[in-house]
Amino acid sequence: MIALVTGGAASGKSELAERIAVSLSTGQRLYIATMQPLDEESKRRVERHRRLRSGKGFDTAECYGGLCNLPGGYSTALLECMSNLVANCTFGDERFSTEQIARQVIHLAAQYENLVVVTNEVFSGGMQYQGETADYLRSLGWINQRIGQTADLVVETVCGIPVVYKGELPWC
Amino acid sequence: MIHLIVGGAAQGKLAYALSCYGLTEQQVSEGNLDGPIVNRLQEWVRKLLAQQIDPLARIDELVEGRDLVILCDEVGCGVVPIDPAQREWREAVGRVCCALAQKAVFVDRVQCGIATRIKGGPGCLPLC
Repeated sequence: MIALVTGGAASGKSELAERIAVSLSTGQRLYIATMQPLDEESKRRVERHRRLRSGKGFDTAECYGGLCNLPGGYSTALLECMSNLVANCTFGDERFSTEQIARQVIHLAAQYENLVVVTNEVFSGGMQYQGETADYLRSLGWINQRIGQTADLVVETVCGIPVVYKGELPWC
Repeated sequence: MIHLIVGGAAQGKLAYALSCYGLTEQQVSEGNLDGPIVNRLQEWVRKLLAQQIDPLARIDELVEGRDLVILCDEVGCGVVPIDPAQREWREAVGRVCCALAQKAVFVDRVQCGIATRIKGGPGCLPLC
């Protein structure tokens, strides 16, 4: 199954996504990391995420471009997160179109029994954006919709509380 | 006991809290934790950060054993700000809200003046 977890900054997305992945998985778990630790702030974030998932049985694959050549043999993969992935594929060295990114995610889902995707609620800041930021928002929004259509579970975290929009949480 | 009410700016959180508890604006504390209704928790977070205090490290002891209705803007649902201080603030607001929601008996999210209870059964705190 595909689970899509969304939410604002610091709303508890990772913790919920990990809980869903652990709850669904019947075997080995893979964590697909998309944040490149380039500066102190991103290093701290990566470190925090590592601490959060340590002891939960995840192997980690770093993926700073498209979703290609990821290892198989896992029951469940947790992809964190779409907002970084889309930024990497839009502004990074290895570039892909919105349609290509969405297809890669759907293709990835076919590789594992379960795919949990973390995305980010960045659309409600009430600011007008131009140029590449506007393009980025459209791209991420469109991919979220595509994954949402295919997903069995769509859930938002609000202050750490899951608010379910589609399907149901595996422990319910 | 804590009743946490979150939602975007200007969604009717305060009006909802006042009508729930039959209180007036005189009983609201703005940006501090005096209570019984605490409005604009995000400004309390901002104030502590300006004093180099980690609000997440302080929140538990400050609300311990008290009955408080705490209102906070959801501030983390926009594009990541360029200014590092803004990023730190919205991160801190989010984490403080997660900590409070975990403790809270009731959590409501107010949108367009309509409250959705996302934690707890019906009812309100027994405020005296």
